[in-house]
Amino acid sequence: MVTPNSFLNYYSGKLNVIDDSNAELILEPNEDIKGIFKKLKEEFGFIMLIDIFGLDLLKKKSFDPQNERRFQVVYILLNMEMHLRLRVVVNVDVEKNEVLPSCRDLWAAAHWCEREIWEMFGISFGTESEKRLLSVSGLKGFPFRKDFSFNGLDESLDSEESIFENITDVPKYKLNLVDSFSIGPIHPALKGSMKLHLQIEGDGILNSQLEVGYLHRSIEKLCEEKLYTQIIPLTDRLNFFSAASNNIGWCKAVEDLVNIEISDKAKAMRMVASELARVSDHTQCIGSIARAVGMFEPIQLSISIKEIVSSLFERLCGSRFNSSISRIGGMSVEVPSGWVNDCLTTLKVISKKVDEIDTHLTRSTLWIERLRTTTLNAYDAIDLGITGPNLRACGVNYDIRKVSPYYFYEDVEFEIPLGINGDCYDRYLVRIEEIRQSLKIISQVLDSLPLGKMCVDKLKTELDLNPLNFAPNLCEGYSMTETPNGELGFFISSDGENRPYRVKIKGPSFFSAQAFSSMLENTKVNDAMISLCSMNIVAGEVDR
Amino acid sequence: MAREADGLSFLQTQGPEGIDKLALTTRADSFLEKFDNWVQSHSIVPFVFDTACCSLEYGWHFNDQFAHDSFSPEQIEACDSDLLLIGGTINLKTYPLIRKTYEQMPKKKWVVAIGACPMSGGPFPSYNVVKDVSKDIPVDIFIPGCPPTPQDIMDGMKLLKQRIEMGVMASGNS
Repeated sequence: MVTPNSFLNYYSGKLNVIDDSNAELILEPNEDIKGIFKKLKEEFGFIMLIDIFGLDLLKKKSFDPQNERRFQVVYILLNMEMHLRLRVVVNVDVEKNEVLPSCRDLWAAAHWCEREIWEMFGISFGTESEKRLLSVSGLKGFPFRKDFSFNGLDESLDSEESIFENITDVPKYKLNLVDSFSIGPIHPALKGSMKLHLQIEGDGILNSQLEVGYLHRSIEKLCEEKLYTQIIPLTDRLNFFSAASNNIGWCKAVEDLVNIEISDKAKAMRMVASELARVSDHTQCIGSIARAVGMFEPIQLSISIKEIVSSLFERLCGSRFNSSISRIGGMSVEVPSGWVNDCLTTLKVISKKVDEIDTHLTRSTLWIERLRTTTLNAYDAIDLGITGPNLRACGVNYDIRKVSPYYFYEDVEFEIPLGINGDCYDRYLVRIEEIRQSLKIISQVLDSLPLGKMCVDKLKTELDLNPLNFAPNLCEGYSMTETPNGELGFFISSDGENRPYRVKIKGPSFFSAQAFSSMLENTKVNDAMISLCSMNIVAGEVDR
Repeated sequence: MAREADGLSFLQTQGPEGIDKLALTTRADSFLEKFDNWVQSHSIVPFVFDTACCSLEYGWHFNDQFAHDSFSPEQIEACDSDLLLIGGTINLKTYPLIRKTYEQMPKKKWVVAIGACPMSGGPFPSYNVVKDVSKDIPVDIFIPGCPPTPQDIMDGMKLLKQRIEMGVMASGNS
């Protein structure tokens, strides 16, 4: 039996305990990294890999180039039983051609992360990782290094590779039927640009690959040049269907870093804003599945719900979609007079419309028949690092709002809907039930909205909250919130300046996109679009 | 250039003496040109190249036109359309594709760029984002905003309609 204590005792010397549920472990590359990871996964139950990312220490004030290694690779692991998050830091020296062992065989989620680290930092994890993922082919240098400067593209650097290897396990007489084609990069349901390559035999899919990077705007690199408050509008554009919850995730991460306690009213309004964003995100997801299946009324209903929510946001903060609604230390605006009443009355309208979608779809035989595809079992989902409603549709009860509740989520009454089979239909059911639970949360919070100010009083904190001077001390931290697509995490490393040293965004869609390629095998071509919409992969979050 | 300058609207030419009036007032080729422009201003076929968040405001409306006749997720091909709608950030990986799309379109074509990103890079001044699309793709109407409101987009479309009726286009094939 593994307990937190037995784990802490085993690594007692090396482990830095940050708080009850976070710890840090620092390794050198000459140690047996693979063996340590295997032990962590199999004996101490860190079955989910949350994220891997790189860190370039070149411009850090405390960096000593003679004695220290220049690069760090950080692994964030999650133990889902003890709710323990472990940050494993490995120091690497690229000049000495150090190659880290790949942990693809331990956690399948690691593959795309390793590819990203190779193209951004030049840290290799073996030959499998040395393929471009996000950046454009022919890019010289490694863009996330601190000494990178962009000077043109060199087309000779990358040779074009065929996307699919030749098929060998198909009988020879069938080889004529094997064909391949690509769809994209325009997404039919407006979720950003990505390309889907399919290899088919008849109308069955043999292989599939999702090509991403068509919306790579290098937000993480831009964050290093911006003030902490200037980053808020950039986070809007990650998952643009639910911008408010991204803002809140970023502000919560900064506040956790510097230990600001925001006022009760701001906490309550943040909950309301993020749950409204969840409603609009889930309805557009259901609408896009309905579009792929070919049902007309649910599309119109979902558009009308989206319109209602965006007009509520417009009245609250003046912007319809990219709201930038929160600030570090509170919220950007006071609640306008009458908004709370308006919101409570529109909640009834929304719940009526949701019921209408429910009557159109849930019992419809066409809907059930078309959506019983692309099953994902719970083991694979955890292995691939999927979070959010896609994971809960597989039957895994994991929601950050319940597991490590922030704001007033432990005080409000709501339930976590779970699926059984993990197919598109379950993903739809989980989403439509989550909309109802979100409406329940909003009405509970608005019924007892605390009084007070929206922003933290400057006198109460030692920090200067003026955006130009706001500078956390030398520290780093990872903080996460439950966004409509799953766990959105921000890792912030601060060097004592008023700009962050490094920001890493853990987008939930990144891992859904990685999983999607393997899910499509042995399904039909006309199910591809349905399952792409049901996973709700948003390119802004994948490519960042 | 405008129809009112001749003192003759298209509907007047449909009357019993319309043809005689036309013979007196306009040359045949300019009439045909005007007729062409008039038809085109009412039956524009958009090719929606939406890459990012700006597509939220207009995307559903334009895509719904296709939804009526077929629910397939395919778009109308570039070679059959005469209006290119660019919505959202264009990065180095997407840029060759959008240029290819533009070249595939017929000679008579209009381009509308929606949002701050196609015209200036928007809030993303990074190495991977194309700063100005109009260097290679002549753009007729820029609609600023991040994202522009539906009213802004409607205003831009009205301007575009005027341009089509006048037969003016940025690609210079008029």
